Amino acid sequence: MSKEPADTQTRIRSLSPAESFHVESPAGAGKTSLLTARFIRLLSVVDHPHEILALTFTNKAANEMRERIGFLLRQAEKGASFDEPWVNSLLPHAQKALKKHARHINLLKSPDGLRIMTFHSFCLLLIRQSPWEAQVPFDAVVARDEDQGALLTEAVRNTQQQIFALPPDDPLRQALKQRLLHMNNNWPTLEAELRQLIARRDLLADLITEVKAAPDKDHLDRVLTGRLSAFISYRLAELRSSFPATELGGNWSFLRAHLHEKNPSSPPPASIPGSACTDLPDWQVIANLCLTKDGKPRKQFKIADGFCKNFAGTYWAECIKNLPERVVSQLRSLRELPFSDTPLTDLDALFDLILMVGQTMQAYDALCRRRGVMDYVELELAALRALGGEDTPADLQLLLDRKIQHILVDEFQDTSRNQWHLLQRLCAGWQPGDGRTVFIVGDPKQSIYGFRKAEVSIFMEAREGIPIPGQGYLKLTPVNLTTNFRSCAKLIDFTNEVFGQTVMASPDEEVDEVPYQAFLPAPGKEGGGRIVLATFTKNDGLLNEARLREAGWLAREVKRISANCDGKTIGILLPARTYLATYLKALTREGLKVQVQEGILLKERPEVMDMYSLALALVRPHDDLAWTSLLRSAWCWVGLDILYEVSRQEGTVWKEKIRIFHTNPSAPEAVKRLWGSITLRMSEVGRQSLAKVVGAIWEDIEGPAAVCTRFGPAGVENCRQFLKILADAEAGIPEETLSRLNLLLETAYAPPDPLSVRSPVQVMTVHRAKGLEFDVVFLPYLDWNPLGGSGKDSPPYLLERLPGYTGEHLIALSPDRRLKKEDKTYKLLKDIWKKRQLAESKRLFYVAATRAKKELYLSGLVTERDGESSATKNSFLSYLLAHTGLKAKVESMPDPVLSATEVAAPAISIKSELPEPILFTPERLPYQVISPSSLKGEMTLRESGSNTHPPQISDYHLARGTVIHRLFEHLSKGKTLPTERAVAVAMLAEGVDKHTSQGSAKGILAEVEACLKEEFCAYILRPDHPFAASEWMIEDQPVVDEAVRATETVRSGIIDRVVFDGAYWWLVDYKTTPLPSGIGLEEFLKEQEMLYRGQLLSYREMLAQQRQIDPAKIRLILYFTGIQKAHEIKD
Amino acid sequence: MGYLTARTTQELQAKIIEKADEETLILTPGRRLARRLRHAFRIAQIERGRRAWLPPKIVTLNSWLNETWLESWPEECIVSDIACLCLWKEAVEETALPEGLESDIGLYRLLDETYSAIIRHKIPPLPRDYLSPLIGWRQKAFEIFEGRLRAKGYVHPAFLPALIKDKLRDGSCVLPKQILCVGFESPAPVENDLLTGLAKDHGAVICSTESNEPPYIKAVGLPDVEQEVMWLAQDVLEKAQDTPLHRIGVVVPNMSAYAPLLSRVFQELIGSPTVEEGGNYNISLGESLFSQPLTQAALLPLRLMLEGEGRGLFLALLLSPYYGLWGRHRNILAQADRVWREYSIDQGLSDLLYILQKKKPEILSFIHPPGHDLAGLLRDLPGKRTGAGWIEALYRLWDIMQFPAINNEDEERVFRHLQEKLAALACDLGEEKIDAYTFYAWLKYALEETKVNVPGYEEAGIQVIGLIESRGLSFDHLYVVGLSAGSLPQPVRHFPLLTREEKSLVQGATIESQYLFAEQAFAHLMTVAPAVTLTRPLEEKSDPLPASPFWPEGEENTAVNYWLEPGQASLRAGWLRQAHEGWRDHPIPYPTEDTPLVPAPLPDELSVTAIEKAISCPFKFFADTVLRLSELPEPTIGISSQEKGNRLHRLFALFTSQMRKQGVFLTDAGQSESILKECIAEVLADVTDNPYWQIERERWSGLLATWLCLERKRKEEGWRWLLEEANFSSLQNASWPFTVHGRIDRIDINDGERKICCWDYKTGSTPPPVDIHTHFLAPQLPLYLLALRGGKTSLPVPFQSLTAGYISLKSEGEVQFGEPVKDEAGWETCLSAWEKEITSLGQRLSAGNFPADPKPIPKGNRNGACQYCPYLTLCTYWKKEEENDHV
Ligand code: SF4
Repeated sequence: MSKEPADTQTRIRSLSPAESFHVESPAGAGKTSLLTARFIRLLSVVDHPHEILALTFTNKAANEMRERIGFLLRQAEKGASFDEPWVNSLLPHAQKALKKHARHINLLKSPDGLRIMTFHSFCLLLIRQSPWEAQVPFDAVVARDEDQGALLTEAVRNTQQQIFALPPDDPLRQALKQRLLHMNNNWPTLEAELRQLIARRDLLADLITEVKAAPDKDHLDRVLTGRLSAFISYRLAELRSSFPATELGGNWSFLRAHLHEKNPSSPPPASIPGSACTDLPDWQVIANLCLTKDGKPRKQFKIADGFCKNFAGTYWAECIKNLPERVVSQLRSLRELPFSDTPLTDLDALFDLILMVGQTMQAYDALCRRRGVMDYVELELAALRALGGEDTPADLQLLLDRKIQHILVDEFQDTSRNQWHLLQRLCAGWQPGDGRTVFIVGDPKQSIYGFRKAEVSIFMEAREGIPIPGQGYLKLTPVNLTTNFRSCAKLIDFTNEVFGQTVMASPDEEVDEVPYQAFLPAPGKEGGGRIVLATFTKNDGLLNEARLREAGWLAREVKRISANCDGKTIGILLPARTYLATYLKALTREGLKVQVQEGILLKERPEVMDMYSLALALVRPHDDLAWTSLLRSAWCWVGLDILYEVSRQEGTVWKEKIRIFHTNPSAPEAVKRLWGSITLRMSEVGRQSLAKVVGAIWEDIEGPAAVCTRFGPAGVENCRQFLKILADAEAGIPEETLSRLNLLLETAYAPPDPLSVRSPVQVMTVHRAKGLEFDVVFLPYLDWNPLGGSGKDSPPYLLERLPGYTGEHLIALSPDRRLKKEDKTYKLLKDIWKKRQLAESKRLFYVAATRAKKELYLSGLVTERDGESSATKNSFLSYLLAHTGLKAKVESMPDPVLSATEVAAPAISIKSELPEPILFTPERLPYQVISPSSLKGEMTLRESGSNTHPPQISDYHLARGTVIHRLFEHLSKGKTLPTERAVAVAMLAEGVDKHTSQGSAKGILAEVEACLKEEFCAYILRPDHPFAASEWMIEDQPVVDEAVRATETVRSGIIDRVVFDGAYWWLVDYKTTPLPSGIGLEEFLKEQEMLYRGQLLSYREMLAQQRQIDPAKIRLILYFTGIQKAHEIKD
Repeated sequence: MGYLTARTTQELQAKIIEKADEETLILTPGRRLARRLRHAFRIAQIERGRRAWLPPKIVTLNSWLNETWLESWPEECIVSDIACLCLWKEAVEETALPEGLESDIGLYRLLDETYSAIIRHKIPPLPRDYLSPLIGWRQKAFEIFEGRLRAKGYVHPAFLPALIKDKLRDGSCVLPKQILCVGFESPAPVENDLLTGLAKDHGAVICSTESNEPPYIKAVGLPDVEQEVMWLAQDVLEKAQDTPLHRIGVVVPNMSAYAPLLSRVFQELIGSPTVEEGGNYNISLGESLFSQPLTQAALLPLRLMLEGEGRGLFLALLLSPYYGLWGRHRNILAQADRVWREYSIDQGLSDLLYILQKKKPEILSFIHPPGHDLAGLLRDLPGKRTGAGWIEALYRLWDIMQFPAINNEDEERVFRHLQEKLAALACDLGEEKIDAYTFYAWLKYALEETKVNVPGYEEAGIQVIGLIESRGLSFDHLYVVGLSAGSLPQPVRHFPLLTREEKSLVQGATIESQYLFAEQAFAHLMTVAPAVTLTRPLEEKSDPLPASPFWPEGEENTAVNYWLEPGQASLRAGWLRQAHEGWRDHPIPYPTEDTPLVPAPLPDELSVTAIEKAISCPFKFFADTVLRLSELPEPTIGISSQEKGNRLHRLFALFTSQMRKQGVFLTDAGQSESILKECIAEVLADVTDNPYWQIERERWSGLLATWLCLERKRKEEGWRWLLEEANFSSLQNASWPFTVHGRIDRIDINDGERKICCWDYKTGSTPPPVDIHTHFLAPQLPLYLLALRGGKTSLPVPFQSLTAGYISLKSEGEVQFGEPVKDEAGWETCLSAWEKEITSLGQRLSAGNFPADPKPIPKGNRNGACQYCPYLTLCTYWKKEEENDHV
């Protein structure tokens, strides 16, 4: 075998910057490398880096691509070279790119400088650039999942309230009533239905618009019938092209003539019907003629079925018997089709539902706008709006800073309809050969995000190119990669055979089944590999015993492999979470530590329930159950006797009972301690964050020790995770914190066990494993039924995309339980829905199986009947068992017995002696700043009274005082008084309202003018003294006693006015307090002196120290501006 | 122009202090640096042995601009933030608002930010030839805004640098002898103009650092953010052994994301930020005033009114520790919530109070403030008022409700802040009368904009600061945390109202300018300390997280595992020490079963429902019947299935008894229907206004019509109604430790065949027959039959045979009469089996055994008997780790 992968030339070709490609790349084919390579190639030719747009579906993929490109650019900058020829071949392009974009080097270096982003980030970018065109609030952000759930609930409930406020005969109120009656007057069911439909509103938007535009049922009927007809025609067209090509079709006229002659009572159609939906009844006659009731080609031909005597011996009978399977299946499926002209059975209910959804949607939109958030549906729709309509596409150059010249899309199989439209709009106006290219890469077999609206059919559709409105298609060159670099030859062979021949054989594209494309191992991967299939027979009486055996076997095998691990990674991948706990327990029982990705919901852990009860109890004194739960928590386990005793205490609530009980001398210590801590901390609830209070109590009562004793470190980490979530949920109001906590807990998983972080064994769902690889993969629970209970159930509504390329959806409601009528449209949609579920489940197994590099262990439960094993219908195991030649491919192990040999699990050592905690000493403050006075202090002294008194009044005095001080400072510089307006503005700037400011300016000026006329003030303010300063800042370290400085204190003050007139130093403090009424001047001055004496003496000390002067030379003056009076403070 | 440069910030600070005297003005970009320099100056004076000194004036550029402006006694006022937004509001309302935009504070803010950016970045006026509709609208709004600004005598703060520059030029400002400008690495163009002007014309010296000697750098990658912060705290603790705390700096570019975690980990490993004897650390967190619990509590009355008087908010008000009025009665008041929940009243103060009046009047007296009616007080709130009017109304409510009951200095500080903000708001909102929504929106905005810092010292303790704050500071060791993509450079700032060309001129509005800014900031960080440690998380939610472009090569990857390798630093966390202690004893699992309770507190008589519970799980029975516990019900929207069932039961009982009393036969369609109507009216008399009950009434009509049909058929078969709601008690059996009481929904008789059949109405799901004859989970019908057989319900007629069944009334399409055991012989076997079942149950219970033993057993998930059981936090079943597989 050559050293080069077989598809090397294809890979090289797909880098051509002049051509557009559609690349199908199987699992492990290295598509990120290809994308990176193409990006670098393009970067070396474009004029600006922003002319390339690479879109991914996950941040992880975007980051990985950025990282690789960054790496290549850095290496190119350094002039490095590598062993890998593929990388080396790219370095010159990277160097060229660096040179070409030297002016934009920051873009190349900045992590988000290159346009490599998820679809959603790109939508956000478009919206941010053009929010108005996108019709979203300017600052809208994408809502977090948990918030979105809360918003939906709020919107639905608000709508309900609004509708009930309408008059009884209002169509909306009638609609709500009818929906409720349909649902047995059960609001929660209707609420759930509305919530789901709002989350999928983009699929229903066209119908809602139709109903809004013409709100009558006939119109809706016409629209739905139209869609149904189009769909029927689409199916008939297929048959119209396949049926005539069969022997029967080719000889139809002869058959018809024969039957007409022999049995003229019910002859089949004279000629092969057309593809109009009116032809459906004729086709159904043909279908009934050719097929038995259970949909197989007839082998017996009775007269009652429209045949004639001895028909069985005719040539036509052979033709019928030999009808090709494809035609049989087409005929079979159209028998179930509803006649397009029969009214939809529950049109009234549908109309009501659409009205309700429309109304709720409005409420939801309004709510989102108010909160400045949007969900992902809105994000995509808004981006589409920003890009303009089909007829008037927006100029991308105007939206973004550059025109996009090249688009790359990763994981294209996960594209949703909106994303597909977005891509089409981005390419609007592109012409073949104009130098702009599209490069899409994906693997349809790995499309497993149907629940997130991914439509694998788009990948198939895109093979034809990208439809450009008014221009036909932008052609893409289809390319298939064929090398798998991940798995060894044995695994590849197994996958090719089982999927190609059985699981994905004869795909039905109508329900999104995809054709299997085989792949080849990379050179050097030819040897090794192991595939094991272990089946466990279900025992009738003990339904779950087989599952336990399977789990036990799996755990033993994992233990065996990890014991001789050699660094092998092991992935245990589950199709669903149902038995996750069972497998985990089996692994734990074997002493294995495994890394679990999103394993157990946090709120289901008992230790977390205890913490939750504590939070509840603290907030709700009346929650008896929460209080009682504290007594049975990990930290305070009491027996039934104590519970009973507590229940017999006085008190209407359990909180009270526990309080009384704890005083009982026989009360357990744990209860006493619990109550003690709660009493200590309870008063903090509502004042502190709830997480802090809960955390503090938990530590007070030695909760961490108790939890660790019971559940080990993982338990403690779970509790800490809970506290973290509780802190995130903090809303300031405890009840609201609890509501948020509940929301957050809905989707919170237990963090990984800290003891398993180094474990090579990982357990996760197949969905999470996408994009990962392991040396050894275990796929247990292969008997999982992808339809679950849903196969039997009837969901209240079905909203499905109609097969064909229109992308239109049809909705039908489950039959009204009161009427018990069959609804053919509903049945049709249910059939499509089920088949799509099954198609996706096949892809899920493909993803699962292709994660393995070397070994694959498959297991599941079977039923034994007559020596034959069979598995649940539609399960992967059922496909496996049906595969001919399976035995040659796998090592089969029916009901393996657990090996008796014990292999020791890797031990985890606990430190017996803990080191002493490190010491930490707080740092002393170098000094404390004290102030002899502050204007504010002055005011505080004056104003005392009720705490809740509006503060405006005191602010006025404060502002007035400040302005007068500033006026004095201004005057002291030899300047003239400002205008009245300027004084009013100064008051305004101090936060006084306009009215009061204007009113007070005159008075302030008058007061200052009066002071200026007063002798002392005029003297002091003169600027021509030997030394004069206003607002003079001074600092010192006060002397405690003779010559000893208080080193821990710095005194800092601002003296209003200091003047040295040659003889004395005048130290003046202005006081703007007016003389209060009812008090004599002498008394007032005495009081004020008492208040400010200390402050002025301090200033004197500071001044004396700073200037080295005799304090006796410093005269201390309080100057009262209101009464224009200087008052000297003497020793 | 004068420059003062140094290699490191420490050197630079020393040079500045050396030069500074009382006639020096030092301008800084932020307050923190100003404080730092003031401190350095003091220390220098003290070290020089000065007893007193005259400090230089050290202020931020903004304060100096404001001060200088005011000193010129201008006749225009710098417009305050809220007053400015009010002007934008007026401007927006005067324009034709483009479709899709909403006139709200968000838009006013955006306009103001755009306007400021244009001025600060000296963006030239737009050419008039082509303007997009949005930009055209913006220009119009700008014009109106400027007109109003002028008319009101306001000046926009963005103009200040230019205005002061003019004043400097015309000599109307007096400048000190020496001006030093520090820390202006990347000023906006107008500030740059001013600083250059100061330097050129007034001798101001521009002080900056220029590193040509890179510090010692260590780069550490940790698996995730949690470990990164834990590692940081540990390393800081180790560093603190030989470095003065205030000389250790931690710069966090992405502070808002990191602050909660940093605070938590520092609190755990070090303790509080400050202690009596000094400082431990100082995190400049800047929580908003709005988010403070006291503020949240303060706004409760207003929110209660605005948000539809919800139960949760009302309860929060009553239980809030800040409202002194209700202080002593919280336990009693909380009881009100149980009543509201039970009656599903979730909204409307009058409804909430009304139900209390009816059901628990004693609570009501604790709710009303003396001399006031609470609903009335809040009812007075709506309407329009001026800002000041709203604030007065709020103060009045607070006064009555005795808010705030303050506990400590921190709360005091928060309340003072709140008061100040309210006063400023009253002033800024002016004379216009606004509604409560608008007032709340302004208030919320003002409070969100105000930051309240957690107290800490800047001069003592480890300093944890943001990137901007770090300007000009100096440390011995610096940590830069969270250097992953998106932290440095930060994501591009969003200016939707700027054109592309305009954005290219605004700092931070393009990737390039953000990168440039980050590059300068990073270069500056490298001059802050001689040793720098950079850290980053390698992953986020298990996805790899790329590094910042400034992340150096040669990182060291490490991990923190305080379980397997507990370090001396991590063991400072109390919880971890405790947990390690506990781990030594691990595993001590929960007891698999509770020890029997002897003597068993078993009532002498049990109801049929209690027996059903005991069968389904003895522990459930213990919690429910013995302990009399019940969960706090969740209020339902619509009608709860229990309530639906109760009323339907009442209706059936009433109807059958009325029919019998009035001697009407089902065959008399007219009469029976009119009786049915009367009965419905009676049963629903108190809920006629409730829309859900109106719908329920309609649902009943279909359901009852089907039911009547079936009843008529039975009538034709010879059956008639004999009794309804037949109570029985003292049903006993020699081997049972208790007697049983219950109530049979209906008893029918077939006179011809002398058969008796008792019926149980089921408005929900009907138990499958196997639950009666094979799994023994549904005891009702067997116990009814045993009661009848034992003569516990006296029947007025003799009979020969007894059977029982369910009448399923789930929906109109599901009405049916079902007898799970076909004939009397079948019942015979079944009843004797049941007698034995109850005997063994009795033995178990009377021995004090109340194990958690659910039937049906949950499979995989929490289903089976546990599905709706509220006691899972009490029982042992879900606490067991290893022993039991819930499969
Ligand atoms: S949760 Fe299950 S086991 Fe526990 S008390 Fe309830 S029913 Fe019993």
